[in-house]
Amino acid sequence: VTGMGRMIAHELKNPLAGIKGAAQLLRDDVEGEEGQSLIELIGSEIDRIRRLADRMETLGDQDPDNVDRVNIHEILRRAGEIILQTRFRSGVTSHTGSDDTTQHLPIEICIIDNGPGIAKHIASQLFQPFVSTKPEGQGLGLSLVSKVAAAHGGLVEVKSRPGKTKFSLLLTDGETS
Amino acid sequence: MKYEVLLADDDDSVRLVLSKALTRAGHSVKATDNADTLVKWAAAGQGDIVLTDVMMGGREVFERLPELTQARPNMPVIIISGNNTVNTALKAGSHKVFEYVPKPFDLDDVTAYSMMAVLEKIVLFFVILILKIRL
Repeated sequence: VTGMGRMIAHELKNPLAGIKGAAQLLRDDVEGEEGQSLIELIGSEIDRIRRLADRMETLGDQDPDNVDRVNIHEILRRAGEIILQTRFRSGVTSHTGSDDTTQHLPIEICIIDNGPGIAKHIASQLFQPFVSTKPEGQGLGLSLVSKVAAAHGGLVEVKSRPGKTKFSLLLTDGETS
Repeated sequence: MKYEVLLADDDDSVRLVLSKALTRAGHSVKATDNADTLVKWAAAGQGDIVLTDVMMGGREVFERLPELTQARPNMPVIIISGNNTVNTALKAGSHKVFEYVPKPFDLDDVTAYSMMAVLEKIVLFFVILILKIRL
């Protein structure tokens, strides 16, 4: 699974390569010291963004290594004033990777709202990064949720119609399956 | 020394700047956004060198490298990628890749590596020729 940080870093590097290349091509066309120093500045600033992207690549790619069983009700109480519903849902099984290992996911945490529902054109790419319906949205929230869930052996499910949207976070109970 | 570069990258801007840089250096460039066309051109005997991105259309170019190598065993391949991980570099190492250039690259580096790859190919050709004559 490609990590979120790695994914963002990768997405940044293509346009950066384009800008850096374009600036280098301009170097041959622009005469004068000022123009050349501005092109130098573009180059050094691109390198600065690249270094940030490199850092993000390593920071964002850490899967949890201290996994322990916790009381899910205690964790959910920290979520505050939201009314949350938890229940066991038997029979949900996730097939992971290319081998035949399966993971039972009996814990279901539902978050339900009564809003207009998820637009059809976005539904299939809901968990993709950079997909958002908000004008200022970055489109990282749900893809991060999905990554964190997967890192814990779980998954996120969504069902939506106008008036009712239900996100289900399905988790393992920590027992070996 | 002029040569023909087969360039594959699904990013329009990257294709544009690389094509311009190589053309300005006097070489000819055939550019595509997918591995299928790249392999097709190479198999048809076109190009002296391959310059390619790793991920195109959701698939890794490494899947197609054996086919390309089979069609053109002496064609140098230079990989350019934004996926700056050890994994990518290692995979590049296992596929007889001439050079791995991380994005965002320096255009001068890319043109220099391309030149070196072609030079190596020519030297190799003469070495083989001399060996054949002596045998």
